[in-house]
Amino acid sequence: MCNNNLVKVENLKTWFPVRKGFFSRSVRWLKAVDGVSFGIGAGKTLGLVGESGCGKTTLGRTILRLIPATSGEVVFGGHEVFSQSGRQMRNLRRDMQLIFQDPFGSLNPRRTVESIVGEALTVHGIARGKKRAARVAELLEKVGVPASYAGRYPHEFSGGQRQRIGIARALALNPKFVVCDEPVSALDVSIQSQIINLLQDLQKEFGLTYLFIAHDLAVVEHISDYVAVMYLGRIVEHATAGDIYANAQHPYTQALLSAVPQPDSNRPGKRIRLEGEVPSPIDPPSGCPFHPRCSKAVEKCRNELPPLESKAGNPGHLAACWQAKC
Amino acid sequence: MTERTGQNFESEVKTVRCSLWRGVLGSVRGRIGFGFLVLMLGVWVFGPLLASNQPIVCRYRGQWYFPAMVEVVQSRGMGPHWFEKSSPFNLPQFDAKSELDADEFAIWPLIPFHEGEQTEDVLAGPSRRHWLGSDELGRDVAARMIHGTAVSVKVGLVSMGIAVIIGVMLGGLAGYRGGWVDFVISRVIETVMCFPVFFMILSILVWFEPSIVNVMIVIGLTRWTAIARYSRGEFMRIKNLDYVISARSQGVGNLRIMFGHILPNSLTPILVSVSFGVAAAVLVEAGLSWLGFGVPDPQPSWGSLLKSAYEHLRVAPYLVYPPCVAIFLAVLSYNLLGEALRDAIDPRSRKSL
Repeated sequence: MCNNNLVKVENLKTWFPVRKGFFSRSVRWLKAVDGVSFGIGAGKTLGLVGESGCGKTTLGRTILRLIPATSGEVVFGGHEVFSQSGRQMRNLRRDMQLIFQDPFGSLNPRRTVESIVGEALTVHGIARGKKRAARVAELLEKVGVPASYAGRYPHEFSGGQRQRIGIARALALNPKFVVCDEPVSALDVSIQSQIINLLQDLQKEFGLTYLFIAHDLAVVEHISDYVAVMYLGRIVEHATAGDIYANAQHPYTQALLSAVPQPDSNRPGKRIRLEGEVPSPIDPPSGCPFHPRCSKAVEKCRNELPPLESKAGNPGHLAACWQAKC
Repeated sequence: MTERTGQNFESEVKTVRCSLWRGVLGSVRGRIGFGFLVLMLGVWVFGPLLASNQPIVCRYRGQWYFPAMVEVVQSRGMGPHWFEKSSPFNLPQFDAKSELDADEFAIWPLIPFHEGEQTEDVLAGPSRRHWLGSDELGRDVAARMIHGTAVSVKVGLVSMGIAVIIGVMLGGLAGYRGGWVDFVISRVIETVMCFPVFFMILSILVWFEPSIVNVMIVIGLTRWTAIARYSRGEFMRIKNLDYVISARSQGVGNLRIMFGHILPNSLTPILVSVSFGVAAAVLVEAGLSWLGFGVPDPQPSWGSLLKSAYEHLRVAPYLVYPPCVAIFLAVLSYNLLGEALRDAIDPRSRKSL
């Protein structure tokens, strides 16, 4: 893919110990993220799709070093994120930000909008007092919230407005990279498009790089340059947005795509139903983790884990499936 | 991460923001508790206007004097140094009652006695002169009750202030850091909880001279466990909320997160345990004074009044009631206030009252 990657994730693993019993012996591991690698070029958007519980949020937060990684590495703009000292990490955090799913829980209910958006400016010693107020007003206008609302509290705003405030907070430090953790999933459909358009406008204006997490391919299609599909802590398919939608290789991606409502009746769609539940990431199935729900599974799928390799004769189109054509 | 819906959060914010006061003052319990708290504070602050051996306002040798009013400001330590009673009212041997002529204008406090003023009525019963009787040294019990309020108010507030500082620090640290820090602090909390607090306070006070300050410090040092447990739980819950994670992702330091983000959002449940703690502290102080480990003699407190009344129970049984009733009402109203606060925070435990 892109050689000048801003963010590069290499074989990242985030495992949580599942403690059991009186003496809290660590018995088993919940493999939320299990060997994920990808890169995002500067100014590009990688859409990350998957069912709930597949490790999308954990992956996003591990990249930002909010959750300790078990192994692997993340390189951000030439810096190894996990080996930064406290002070270096603080400086690095200025360039990487997070936008949350829940617009109600992500703003401190006891703080005014100005204090929420401006706190990072104070903490990093960028602006104080009147200068800070001016910067906050500028940010609020940029995201479409009247600057005169800076003195109000979060509970006085609607969900969409709160999400805009959350975006303003993420932009306060002029970041290069923003992890958007399902930023529109909690919003009304009419508001969703407004927020997505806002994110796209901001990307153009500031040259932002996005990791855009969603559980909905339709949302991701609109905003992403590349799409990665995640299943049980692993990436099962990774390609440009166009390739994913036109030529999905992994049966799981095909099933997800068939679930997207099609207003265009020219695109014939046969709904592929996924049988069964998502298996527990504590005891993932042997071989390909998707095989119990896959209609194309053969003996090899039950025993051997398929590697993520280029398929369909396209070096940029990666999929982890034994059945997909090379 | 958070499973709560917007609706839930909305109602929580609303409860915390505006309807806490309405919730507390809307219940009968809350009103009684809060009313008595205000009354106690009022009696403490304006004590000299209720009971003093010097007049509130008087005309003495052609000049106006306000000795009791000056006393209000002075004894709270609020007035500047030069703000003192003007001569001759500041002289210890000056007896305003005999000096002031009957025809001179003077407004006296309701109870015209000083808390330490000895009269010739020893162990007198309630009368128009001594409303609640007088003790073995002829001191007016009503005046001593009024000035003893200060001890109860101060002990409750200062000792709980100390307890809040210790409890929030330790509990917050345990909840925020988790891991072995949490393990160690939790065991410390459990150990302190196992002590029989009253006897621990007694054994500590044996080594120090009895004074109100020592009593406050010792109560504060032993009564922080409930507060610590509440704040530990709150810090644990709030540290995983999105707005705290957002602050961390922006590089906000740990101290700023703990005191700027988590603490303000965890105060309300802590307030409940403080309210119950004040009630317990008042009771402990009364018990210590009764045993003679509390406030030393000339200074009145409800506990020491009870003790001296108990010593003369056969001769003057009527002296036992005022301190008993006062202690009972104070403890009751703090508890009612605590219950009202708890119900206002948690609507599920609210009952129709």
